[in-house]
Amino acid sequence: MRWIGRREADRLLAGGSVHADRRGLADLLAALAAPASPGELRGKDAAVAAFVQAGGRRTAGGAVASTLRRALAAVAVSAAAVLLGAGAWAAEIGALPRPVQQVAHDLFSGAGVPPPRPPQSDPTSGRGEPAESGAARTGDGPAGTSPPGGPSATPGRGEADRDEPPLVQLCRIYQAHQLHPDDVPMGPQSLRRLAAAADGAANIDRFCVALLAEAERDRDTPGPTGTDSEPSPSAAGYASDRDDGPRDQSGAETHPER
Amino acid sequence: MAGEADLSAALVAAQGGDAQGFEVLWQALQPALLRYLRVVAGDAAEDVASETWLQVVRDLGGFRGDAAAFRVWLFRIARNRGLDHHRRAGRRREDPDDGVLRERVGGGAAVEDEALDGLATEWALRLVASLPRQQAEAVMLRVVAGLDVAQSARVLGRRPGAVRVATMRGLRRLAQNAEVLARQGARGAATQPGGRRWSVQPTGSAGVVTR
Repeated sequence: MRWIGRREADRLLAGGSVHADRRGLADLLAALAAPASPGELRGKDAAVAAFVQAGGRRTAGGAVASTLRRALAAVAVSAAAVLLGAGAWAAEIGALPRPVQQVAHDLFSGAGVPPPRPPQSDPTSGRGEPAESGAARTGDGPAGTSPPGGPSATPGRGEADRDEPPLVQLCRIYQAHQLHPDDVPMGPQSLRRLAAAADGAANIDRFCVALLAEAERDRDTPGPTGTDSEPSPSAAGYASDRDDGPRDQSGAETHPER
Repeated sequence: MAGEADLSAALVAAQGGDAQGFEVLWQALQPALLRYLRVVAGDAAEDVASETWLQVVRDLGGFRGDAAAFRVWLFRIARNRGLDHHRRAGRRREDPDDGVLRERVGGGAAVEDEALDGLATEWALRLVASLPRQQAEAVMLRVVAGLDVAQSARVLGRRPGAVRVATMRGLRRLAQNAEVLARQGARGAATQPGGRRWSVQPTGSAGVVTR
């Protein structure tokens, strides 16, 4: 067999064209660098959660993107609504404080949670309010555009989904779908629901990451009580970012989304 | 290099405390990290990878450099954590060519996932892990981690020339492997593995260009 010289080695390493008698080796190298399997991305939620925990301590100068912050706050509220029966019931009948209600509706619009009344119309009215008000502000659109007759708009959802909110399931499917679109189909209706909850299709990725991270954490530890002043430790960690209204609105778009 | 600008942006964001930036880094680099560690640490790869990222989270504020430097830093940490693991486990291998690696790779909890998606990858990792350790590491860093000779040398703490030689020897040995030759014979008109580099990154990930 021919000896592999330095030039050929470089070509092999670069994935360039090779002679026929090197195709077995080229195959092996290609397989080494094949696309990731879902199993290889398994620890992402935990890793991001660890980062968020550490990152909460060093937000000085840090621009925690608004979408993530919003999602964390939203999920914190949702955890309260889901884990506490009374809270869930309050959300279902529209009795939570308005920002909380809006977020609960954003997250569980398919689960029978109505939007707040009256509908929020002034996008700046929430400025200076606790973190989840950001979700309420920017949630105007998605709240109104959520598919009204979604597959989960059946009665009694609040009970059935208390352990596994449909959005969490959707996010899991979504992530698998991203990796293997052929193996894991995802219908346009599900994607619309996610896009509505994430405040835009472009935000689904990060929305789901945050949602799943929080869901994983909240599974073991009971959520906060759902008062609108301290939605959760993680959301409270970003309290210093409350007043950055302008960045709150545009921060999501300043990050790579290519 | 394609995708490097995205990683640089993600790195800057992560250093500023942005979890999205960190997520982009993780998603882009974890698959390669895990595969490298499966060769270095066998079944402990996932644990060692987690330890690696925890250290990254802890020390990211003090890190200075661009995305390429981050990649080197990350794999250096991973390598050190992997070596720590071996010391703790008291089964550090003096002779890496004894087949121990071969047994380790392929076991573990990831098997059921690999059965669906990564049979070829699993096969390739198993063969690389059967190489002498220095050769195996050099091949993994060059091919999977996407590091050049100088960067790989920094990870391994060796001279670039030594890394180049180790890589070449590893490739030669793999080329002579009976399974590789058998696979070659089984193939008809082969496709080129063009654009392979960075393809380890998952498609559709947030903000990451895969090629």
